[in-house]
Amino acid sequence: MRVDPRETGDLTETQRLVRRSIRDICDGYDDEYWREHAATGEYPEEFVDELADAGWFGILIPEEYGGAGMSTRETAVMMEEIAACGGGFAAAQAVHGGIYNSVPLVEYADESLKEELLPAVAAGDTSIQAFGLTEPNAGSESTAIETRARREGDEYVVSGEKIWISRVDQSDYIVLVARTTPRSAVKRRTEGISMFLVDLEDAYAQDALEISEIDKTASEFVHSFELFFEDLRIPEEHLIGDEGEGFYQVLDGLNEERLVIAAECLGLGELALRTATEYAGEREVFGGPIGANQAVQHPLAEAYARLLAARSVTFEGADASANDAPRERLGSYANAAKYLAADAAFEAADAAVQTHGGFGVAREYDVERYFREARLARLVPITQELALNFIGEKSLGLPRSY
Amino acid sequence: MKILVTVKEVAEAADDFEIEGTDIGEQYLEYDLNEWDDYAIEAAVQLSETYGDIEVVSATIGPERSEETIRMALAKGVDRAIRVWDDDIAAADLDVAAKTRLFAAVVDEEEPDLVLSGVQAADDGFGATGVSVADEIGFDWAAVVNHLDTEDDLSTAHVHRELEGGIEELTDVDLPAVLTIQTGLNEPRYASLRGIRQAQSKEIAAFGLADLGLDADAVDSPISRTGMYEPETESDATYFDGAADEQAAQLADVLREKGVVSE
Repeated sequence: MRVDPRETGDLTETQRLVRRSIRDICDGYDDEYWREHAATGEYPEEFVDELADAGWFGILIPEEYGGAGMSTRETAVMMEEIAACGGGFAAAQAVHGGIYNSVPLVEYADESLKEELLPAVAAGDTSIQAFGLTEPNAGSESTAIETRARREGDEYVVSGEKIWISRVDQSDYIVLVARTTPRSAVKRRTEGISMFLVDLEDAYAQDALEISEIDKTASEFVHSFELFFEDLRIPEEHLIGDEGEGFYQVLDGLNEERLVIAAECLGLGELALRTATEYAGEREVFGGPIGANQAVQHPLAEAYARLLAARSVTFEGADASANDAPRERLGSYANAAKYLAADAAFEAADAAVQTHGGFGVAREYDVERYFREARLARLVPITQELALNFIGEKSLGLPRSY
Repeated sequence: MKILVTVKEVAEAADDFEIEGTDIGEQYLEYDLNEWDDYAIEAAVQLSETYGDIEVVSATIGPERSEETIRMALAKGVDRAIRVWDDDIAAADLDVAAKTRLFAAVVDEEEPDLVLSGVQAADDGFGATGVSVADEIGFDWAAVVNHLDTEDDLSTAHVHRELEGGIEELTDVDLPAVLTIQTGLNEPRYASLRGIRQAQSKEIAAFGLADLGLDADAVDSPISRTGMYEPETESDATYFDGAADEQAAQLADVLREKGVVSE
């Protein structure tokens, strides 16, 4: 690829340094590394440890807590690069939680909890990789969660079930969202929800948590679990923010995170397109490279155009967040970016598979993996339809249907 | 104590580049820190971490674009940097003697106790600048260093030098000295995230010829580039079929035919 989509925007000097440093680290992990980890389902520990040692889990943690105090702009570059270098959406997802779960602590936790945890997270010694919100009866409708936290003395006692919680096996802590007041007893369904920090080792020691891995067909090396809590005792100091305000705390920062997820989709799309372009240039059929045929060329060119457009919206949104754009405008950017980037990645991965012909489904050529990941990217962390719902309601001002 | 590390941003050509005039088309070039210099930076930063109270200064000759590369050195622990450039330098085709004059002027300005440089640059590959600078400034030197120990008072460097034919020379060099660093001396670190943050506030001082007490003559060169071409590559592969003894017989035929062995 002569004009890489990643080279098309104007990056700040810090963004460029972030990109170079991540590229340096990623250079040590080739396609085979990611292919093998996908095949065995083994978490890419060496890669993640290397990022942790170099302080990358502290990218969003303020400098006074040992982090780098950077923002969406730099994190978007970091995650795009991780995905584009060969690891795909899954590699980005392998570390995403560890970066974003520190954000509610920074914003809402008590000073003592922050001082205890954030420097250790920034140094890569402690991980908060898991976030427990989704439940079997509460997917996109987060306010329907049923996991209950009851106050008993200076503790909270938690029981309930969570599902699709990723990286629980790679984490020291989970940020858990639970109802402290039942939905029937609050005026608005968004009230009565609280956020807790749960020490996973302690939860297992109390015999109050069981986990069960979900067998799935994408992002094999980032494991997802069902969690069963029974009478888990959490010290009150581990309440993050105010009791009953948890849902609003979850929403805060969601736009910024969504922009970064869009960047992860872009990285995957760029990876798929690069792989396909190289193959199209090398593979000879009927006396010439298949890439000379426009039936092969045009879908790749179209994928390029879509990636470029999605990338432009994503990074404009990231710049807007750095300039403190109002939340509604940021929401438009974030949801449009996630929608466009996930679709662009999907089209690119689909074209990549088609370009490879029958080899498109051979694991050795990687593009089938990119395709499965791209399919997943249209579902998580929110479905494409929910992104459109937001745009319909908040950006266009149309009535809400749900 | 002060260590000066000379670094270069080198060009790397894409696989399918084209030559325009006497150079590779700019659109086919990507720039990165010279690999050998990465080891020199690491060596300097390690010395500074071991002994404390050592200032590591990095110097480069290069256009504004190269500041990004220098910033990476700062992110890896270099304390501050100097970038030498102006219109006269930009217009010149720098040879080893010109680079020597520029770096010697930087040494005059900074008065380092130790100068580290990569053995060679990945693009033009002269492999001469470090030693040439040592000669110009009158420092002792050791080239192609692949192992480095220092006396506790930093008076002497105990070095291993890689010679041809797998031979190593073990020698001592008294400081002040110039050492040219071979790859493999250490394991260059990745820039840490905090390093990147800190690099933003470190100084990159821009020096022109006049700032170094030089004029345009300093970058004059008797050498001029008259042409550039890609050497023809020839390859000829013969595949042998059959059982091992049949293949061996065919190989013997080829060797005889090519005159490698006699009849």
